[in-house]
Amino acid sequence: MEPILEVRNLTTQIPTRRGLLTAVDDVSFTLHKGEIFGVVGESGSGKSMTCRSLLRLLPSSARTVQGSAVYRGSDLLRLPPKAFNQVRGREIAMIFQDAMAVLNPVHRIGDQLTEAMLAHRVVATPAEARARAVELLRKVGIPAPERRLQDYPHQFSGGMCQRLVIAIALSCQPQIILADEPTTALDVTIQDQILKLLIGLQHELGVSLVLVTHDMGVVAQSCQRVAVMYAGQIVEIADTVSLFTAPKHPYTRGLLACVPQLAADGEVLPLAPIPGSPPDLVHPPAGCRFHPRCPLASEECRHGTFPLQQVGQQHVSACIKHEELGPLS
Amino acid sequence: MNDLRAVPPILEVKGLSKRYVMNAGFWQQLTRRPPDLLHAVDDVSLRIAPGEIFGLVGESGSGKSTLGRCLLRLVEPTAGQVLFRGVDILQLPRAQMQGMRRKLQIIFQDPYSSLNPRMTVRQMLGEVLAVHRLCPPHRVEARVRELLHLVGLPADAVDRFPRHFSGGQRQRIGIARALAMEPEFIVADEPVSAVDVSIQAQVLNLLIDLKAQLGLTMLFIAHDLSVVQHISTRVGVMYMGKLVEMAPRRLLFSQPRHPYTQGLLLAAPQPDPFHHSTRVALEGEPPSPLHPPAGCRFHTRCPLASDRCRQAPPPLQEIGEGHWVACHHHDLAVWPPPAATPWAA
Repeated sequence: MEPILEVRNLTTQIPTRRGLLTAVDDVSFTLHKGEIFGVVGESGSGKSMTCRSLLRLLPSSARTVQGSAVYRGSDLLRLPPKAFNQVRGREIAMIFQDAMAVLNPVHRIGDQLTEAMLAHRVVATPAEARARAVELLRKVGIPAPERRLQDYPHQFSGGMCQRLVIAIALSCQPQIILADEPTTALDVTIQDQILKLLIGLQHELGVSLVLVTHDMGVVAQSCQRVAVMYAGQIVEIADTVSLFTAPKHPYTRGLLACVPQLAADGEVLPLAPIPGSPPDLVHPPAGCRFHPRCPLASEECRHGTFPLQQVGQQHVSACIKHEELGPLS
Repeated sequence: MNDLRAVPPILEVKGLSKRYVMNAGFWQQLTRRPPDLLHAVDDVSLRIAPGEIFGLVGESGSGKSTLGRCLLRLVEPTAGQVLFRGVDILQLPRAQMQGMRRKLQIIFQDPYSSLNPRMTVRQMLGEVLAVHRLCPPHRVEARVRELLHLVGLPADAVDRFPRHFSGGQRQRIGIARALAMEPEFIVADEPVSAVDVSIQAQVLNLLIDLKAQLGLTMLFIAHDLSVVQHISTRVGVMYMGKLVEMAPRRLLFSQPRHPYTQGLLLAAPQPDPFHHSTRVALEGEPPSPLHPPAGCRFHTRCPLASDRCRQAPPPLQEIGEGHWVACHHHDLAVWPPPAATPWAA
């Protein structure tokens, strides 16, 4: 497996009235070529901010204070703005959660689809751009694409808007797509369509995809490898099967135990919620950030730092007590 | 199910419809065009027995929330009856309805907008107790603490404002406020949709505990099938204002007979990496509710649709004990579906 993006020690902070909030805290991961890499966590865990930090799409007050993200030999976080603009949108594209908000309501779909292609000069003429736009719309499953180029976003449903946004992301044939909760705002049958479209396209085009989600179901259905985030930090990275069958962090374990599962016989098992709630990131707990909610926590968990350590092939965990985790029931 | 039928229902809905008149503006009047009608809820009938949690599931725009609100007259239905212990509450005059509201409560989806930001928990809970004269003034304080204990909030929460609480804790306050009335029936309108999974499990377990402890009867509305499966004793599925299938929980999830229910079950991504399908569960999108298709409303997306479906709307009929389906071809809807192609590793 060939790495395409190497993120090291990424740290992003946001000043608030109450103090400095560390939204992304010393995050490191490697994205491999042609894989779907999941980033899963609850709200406020820093998964979206990680993506936004990489593409410098942060809120104006937020600062990436540390780290590197090496793509094709250059550090994305240190590229001068002009050079960076050659990468963002062209080499690395992003898909956002709220497609309706991403599209400009007063411009025709055709113009929005061709804008990036023309700006990045991936096509020579507007006519060529339009031809490619039609082809893209067909690829993402929008019927009668020639006619729809003239339409405005309000003439599309939520699911169709998300297809459009995917088409725009693909328009410059990027190497990497960062998809931030691309199906969260959609109904379940539409989510299923969009997820399968995204997986199919990723397969067909061999693009590397970072899929940010809060839904363990989406992870299980689409990703090859997964990073689990909690309170701004990555606590575990593993291949999907290992993560679901032998999780090595109590938080991952807790997440799996509290997701209700559909049972074919309609029988249900009681849920085991994680007690408490996620910490305040302005004043996070010392030591392991999960210790106030952790069933395994002991004195040593309350102090110091907990870097990711190898616990299996392609499997790292930040928990020093992972060996005490029994088999999954 | 026979035992269920022997017990008189606590709540019975008969032929309930809610129509909204759309675009009845100046232009429409000028051109004498009839205004568009949106059938949010269309001729729904169901009964809920005491002690049941009836789960109502559907996608956005299916009418599930409107139905829930019609039951409490938070939205006035256009037609039909809502019988609460045999009394049609839609016919009650305002003053009597006020008294009835104590017995019928709602828990809202959004714990941020449904709590007054300027009131402390004590004021919020104290107010409902005072307005409905549920306990003498000197007992209010004790009762507020009892309610907080019931929903698992610390006693020192009484003097705090909603902004001091997390989403899950706010949802607990919303639940405490509904319980303060000692209601006989609660509509829970997507109570766990706005909170994270770790908190969702806490709230679900709380509701299950409260049901066992207080014998609550509830209409539980959600878009998430696995959540509904978890909490409900009986489940109804809605599509474009119609109730398309209704059955006891085990039956609905093990032998769904409506193609829409089956599609919903297949579409929900399961947290199981060994269970993959590349096939899209249900193609297409729901048509515009302003111009619903003739016949069965699901026919535009249904894999089993025939000419009959395009012409005649299927009635909701009982095909097994307590199992109701509105589909002409329910006997053709195979479940489980033929083995799905495994995703290439």
